[in-house]
Amino acid sequence: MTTRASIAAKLDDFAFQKVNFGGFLMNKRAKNSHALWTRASEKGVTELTILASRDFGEGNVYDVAAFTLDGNVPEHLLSELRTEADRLADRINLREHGYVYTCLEPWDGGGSIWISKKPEFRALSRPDEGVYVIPIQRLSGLGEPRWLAWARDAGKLNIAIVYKP
Amino acid sequence: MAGMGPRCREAEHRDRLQALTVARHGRAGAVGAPGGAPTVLLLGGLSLAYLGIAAAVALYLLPVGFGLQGSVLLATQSAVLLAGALLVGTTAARIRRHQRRQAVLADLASGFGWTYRVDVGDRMWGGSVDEQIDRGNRTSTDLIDARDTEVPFDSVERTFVVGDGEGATMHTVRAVRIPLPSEVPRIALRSRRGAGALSLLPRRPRGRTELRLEGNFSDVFEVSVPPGYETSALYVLTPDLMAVLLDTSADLDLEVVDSTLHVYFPALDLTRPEELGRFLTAIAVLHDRFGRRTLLYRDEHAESLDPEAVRRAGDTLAHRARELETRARWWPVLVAVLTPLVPLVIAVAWIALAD
Repeated sequence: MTTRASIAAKLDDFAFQKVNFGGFLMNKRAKNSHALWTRASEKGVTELTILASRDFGEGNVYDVAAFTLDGNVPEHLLSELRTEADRLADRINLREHGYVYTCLEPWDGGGSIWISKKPEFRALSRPDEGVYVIPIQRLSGLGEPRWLAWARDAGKLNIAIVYKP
Repeated sequence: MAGMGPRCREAEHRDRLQALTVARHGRAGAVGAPGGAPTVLLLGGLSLAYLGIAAAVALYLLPVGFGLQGSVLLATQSAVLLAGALLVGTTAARIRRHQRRQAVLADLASGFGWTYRVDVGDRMWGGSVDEQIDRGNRTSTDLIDARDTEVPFDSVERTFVVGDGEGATMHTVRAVRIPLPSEVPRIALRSRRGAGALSLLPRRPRGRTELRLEGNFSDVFEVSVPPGYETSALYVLTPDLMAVLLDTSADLDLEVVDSTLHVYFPALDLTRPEELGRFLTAIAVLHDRFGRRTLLYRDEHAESLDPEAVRRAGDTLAHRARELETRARWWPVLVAVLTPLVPLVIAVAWIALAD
């Protein structure tokens, strides 16, 4: 049975982080993520709620998803956010905005990743209600993104999608 | 209003439709004859484009290339010009008719308080068409989004290609999604008339998933459910719902996927009041009846969750309740294999007859 708590416990294990966040170059991304996860005191796992999806063919699927750190997105906001995300995805090219979030990185790009310069979908977030919105490029063959690991480091929110819980 | 039955809704739709049709006709009359400047511009552009081709054919290819002279040359030159005029006229008329249809649909949508969008090819629709047809072989247009209305639904015109190469066939259907109050095991209802989307797809549910139901329902619909969920299907498909399906949608294909009812109509011209009327009536009836039957459904085989975990859509059904085993249909494969051989057969027959 997969729950937020069980995934959060697994994330303490470097081997689990290597499976989910590993890659080339001696698993540098997994090592950085694991170090960030270990030193963060405020961290957890939450669930993504898909607001809109676009299929551009040949496995190129992009989503707009919402999340809160402590639970599900409030029902009264969902339909509103879905409509806004759908309209925005129709107006601007989601392919130019979707990001993979394959290791713990600042949710807004932190000024160093290219997604920092693409704030349109993040602007749908409702910070006062704790609701964040992100555009996602799906990793092909792993299905719909559902679980999201988060950790606050030096006041910044870092997130990563856990595709293999 | 909340307790309004499908008959009342049907009457309301009819009235609103009539009002919209009258308003539309009135406005068309006020603006003037349809067509006007855009059509003239379109025809002008197309004519100019063809003029270049026609000039090369009539003034160079025919007299120099083919060496035609005198009255024969004149006749062929006239034929080239006439054929061009016919081609340009037909193309312009078809483009204009298509534009007018889209304008009327947009008009209708705003009248009903729906959202209309022309191209939604990149949206994920769900259901058997998405599962069985590659993304490159399907597209969706003319989205009508009425999810915020009293009878929530959205609908697109789906065009998809079945098969490859010479054996490929193209089909157009109008697909409708009606949200249901809870997740329900997958149920496919394929009309035995055989013209619906589920009959056209390359794969069909396996025979062992077929469920025989009482009365003549199984003579009209082929019902398929995942093994072990026959009782759940009977819970949803009560005799009164079966009667409604026989009355309102005997020629339609339907499938329940998670918490959505997918309905497949043939390609409809929704700008025609009678077709729009039938479309809306069927949706209102299906929304009402399926909504009532699925409201309290719970899957006893669903995975048990931690008491602290929040059960979301996606957790309320067991995995095996979501999938229906399918088998490939053999005859489209046979057609695809044999079609390239048709010219060969004709040639052999021709030679045999000539001898």
